[in-house]
Amino acid sequence: MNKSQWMKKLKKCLSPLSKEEKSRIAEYYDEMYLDKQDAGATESQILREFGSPESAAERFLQEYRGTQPAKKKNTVGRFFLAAVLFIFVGIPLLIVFAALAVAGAAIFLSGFAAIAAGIAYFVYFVAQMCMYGGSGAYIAHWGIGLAAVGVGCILVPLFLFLTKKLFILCGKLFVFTGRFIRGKREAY
Amino acid sequence: MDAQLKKGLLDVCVLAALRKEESYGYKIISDIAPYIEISESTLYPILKRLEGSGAVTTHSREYNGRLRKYYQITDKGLERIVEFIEDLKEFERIYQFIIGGKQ
Repeated sequence: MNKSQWMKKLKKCLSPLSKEEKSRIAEYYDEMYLDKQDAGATESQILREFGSPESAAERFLQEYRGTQPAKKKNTVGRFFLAAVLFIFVGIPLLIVFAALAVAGAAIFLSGFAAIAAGIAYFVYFVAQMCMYGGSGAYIAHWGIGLAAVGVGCILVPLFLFLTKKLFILCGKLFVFTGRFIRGKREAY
Repeated sequence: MDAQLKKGLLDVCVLAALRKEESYGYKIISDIAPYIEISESTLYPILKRLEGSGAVTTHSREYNGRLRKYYQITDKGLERIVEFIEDLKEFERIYQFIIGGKQ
């Protein structure tokens, strides 16, 4: 293990502490490391003296919770709360989001459908005119086909944008739920 | 050594290491280590506690192109050392009593 791996592991073990406290502890170890290095110690020597990041972190955590072991009950309670929330709120919400996502995808595809239909319409009336001879009405139909293609081209990027936003929102909701269940909030 | 007893002793040892002049983490450990076992992870909570109770103040100063945190003892901290010395005198009497019991 090298120094940056050691620090990374320590920070991970200190996850219940606040960001500020974590960075203060990291600064403390950085300073200590450099002072030991200046005194002539090698990386492996220093890390051996520091001990394992897990046991160092345990000491810090112990200090903040007043030498009492972690409250198991709390995490169990949190888990149940999360489970209940998931069943009664999470699942219906997920269904709603899934429906919205399908709607988003459908709207997005409908843009392409408008373009395709416009082209087909245009080609059909070009063929009609070739078979039955030119007339003003056919030209008008070409116009309708081309207009549909144009509208489709305008709508596709807009729909793409909306669908992307919807998907990102769904993803964020998943991440938030996961974090809540793991209890990774700033407890101290 | 008993964990509770050691905890109390370490606080005062850290204060004693700061009595002459301000100091920093590595130096505090080097000064105390010959007398009592102390590690980096033990020192940090002690310093935090002492700072929280107003026994020490801190400030960062540049050293060798990097920042180093210096700890300085306050009047309150000095007072704690004096109080502890009083406690030790009491311990001394108890110690004599315990030793005397052997006779």
